[in-house]
Amino acid sequence: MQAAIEVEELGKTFRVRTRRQGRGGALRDLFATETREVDAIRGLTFRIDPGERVAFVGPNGAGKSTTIKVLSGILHPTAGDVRVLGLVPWRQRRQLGFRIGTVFGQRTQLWYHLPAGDTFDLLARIYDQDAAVHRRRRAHYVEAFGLGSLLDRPVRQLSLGERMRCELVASLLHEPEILFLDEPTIGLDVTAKAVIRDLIRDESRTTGRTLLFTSHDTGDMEHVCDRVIVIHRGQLLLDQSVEALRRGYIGRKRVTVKSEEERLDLELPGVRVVARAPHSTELDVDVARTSVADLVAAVLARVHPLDLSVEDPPMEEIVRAIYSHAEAQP
Amino acid sequence: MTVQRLRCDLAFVRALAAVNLRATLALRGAFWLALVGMMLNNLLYFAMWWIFFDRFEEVRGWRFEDMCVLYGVVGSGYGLAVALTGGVRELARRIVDGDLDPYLTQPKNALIHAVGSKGFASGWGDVASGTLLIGVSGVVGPFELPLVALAIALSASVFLATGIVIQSMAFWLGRIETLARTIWEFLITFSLYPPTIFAGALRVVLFTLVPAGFIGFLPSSLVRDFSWLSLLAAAAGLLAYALLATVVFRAGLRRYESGNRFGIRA
Repeated sequence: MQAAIEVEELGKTFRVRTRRQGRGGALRDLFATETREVDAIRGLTFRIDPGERVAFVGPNGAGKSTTIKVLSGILHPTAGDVRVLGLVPWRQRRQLGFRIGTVFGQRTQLWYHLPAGDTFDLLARIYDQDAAVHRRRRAHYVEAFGLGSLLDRPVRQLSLGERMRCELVASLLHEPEILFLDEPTIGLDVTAKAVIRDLIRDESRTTGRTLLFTSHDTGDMEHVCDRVIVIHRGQLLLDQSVEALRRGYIGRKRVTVKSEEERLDLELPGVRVVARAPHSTELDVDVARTSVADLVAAVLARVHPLDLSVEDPPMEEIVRAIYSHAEAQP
Repeated sequence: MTVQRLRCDLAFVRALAAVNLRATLALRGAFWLALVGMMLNNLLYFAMWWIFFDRFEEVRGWRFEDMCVLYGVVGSGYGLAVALTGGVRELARRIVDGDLDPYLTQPKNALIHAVGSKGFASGWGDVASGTLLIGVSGVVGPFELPLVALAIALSASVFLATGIVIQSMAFWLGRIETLARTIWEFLITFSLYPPTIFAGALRVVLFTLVPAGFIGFLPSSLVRDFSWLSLLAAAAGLLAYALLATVVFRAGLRRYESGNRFGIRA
């Protein structure tokens, strides 16, 4: 079976201008610049089969976006070999463009002052779609993503969550074989994030579309993907199923309780206090030993909570845990 | 390139221009304000030439009506370029900020897509004042109207090609938006002088390094005194600059570094 994505020893180096220090530095920079090379990706190798939903995660600056930009033909790599659907992305950009879809959370392909429907119709021309086929697909996705009431409003009047739903439809209208999603939930509130995750997961499950999803939010990969590739400083750190990662590294939650009482004392298995301030307690919870529901019940029995939040541990912490685990191995 | 592909690409260009125009017209108040403001600005500036030619009847054979046609063709050409392909004015910024990403992942020419995805309402003010000046020149009758359209299209296309070359320098030089704008404005100013005042080496510069001759003099001469030789020369100049623009942009794309800045498509 031909791989959807094959990456071998991929490397990407950026040349970065350095600024000289001191008073004379700025003046000298005017006439001669100094540069240094920064390796954004180093020796990255992986393979993704058709239909896989893969989370590509890592902390900020890990090289996630750079990799996805090489795979979608935006950037030329410095080293290595890449095949996406059997094509070399940066050399066969046009052919590849018909077969992939991209959503960049920090970029938009929608026309800001026009309703999203205008962009959808322009996309039909961009992807050489037959008018009848385009109409059918557009109607299908508008219904599936609940865009009916949004189509008459200029994009500038949409919320970030609504805009992201439109972005997803825009990237799916030509029915791409692979969908690249670069931080599609960035900046969204909890509700909008959940909606976007559900839509992406359900659409991919129904169609069997290959997904490569970059995020630094562990919740994204848990809800949408089956496999996770963790990179750090441009190198592969871990490649395994989300289930295995959940068992090994993300079976914890961070719970913050703000209470009327100055102090909260709890003694539950797998629960430890990580930070404490008057009227505020931050807990690290191993959900395999004490569920969030049991924890909340115990909190309610002891104090009057003013606020309570449950969050996934930050990606940086997971990467740290993976490193510690790797170092502990003989 | 197959005929089918060419047909699809032309359909894309037409659709892009239509959406771009709709986006420009979406903010009606701003559109009219920019259009009328630019018309007034251009006509007030042109009043200087009116006063000049009222005092001196001609400059080396160049008369007031010639100036009207030159100013009209250059103004309309520039206006058309920024009204329909206004993205060229922002190309350097987009290169530096990494805003070319959406165009590079889609299966159509990224350069055409980038320049055609923005329009400036003020450009229509340039077109309006330009055509008005050609009209009042008195040298254009109904039979010359196709020539006027051809001259404006040639001027707009060379403006666009030159703009792409200048703005694409951002691939190598980084943040050069201000410099690029200054060079482009210098080009406009140069194109608006009566070409008869330039001679010798300066005239060579006008048709090479600074293509003011292909933007103003040659297209306007098609309207005033048509000759096939002038048309051929204008077309050759356009072809050369279009080729240069394509080569420079393509070479620059290899150095494109993208980015992660938040962006909108206004």
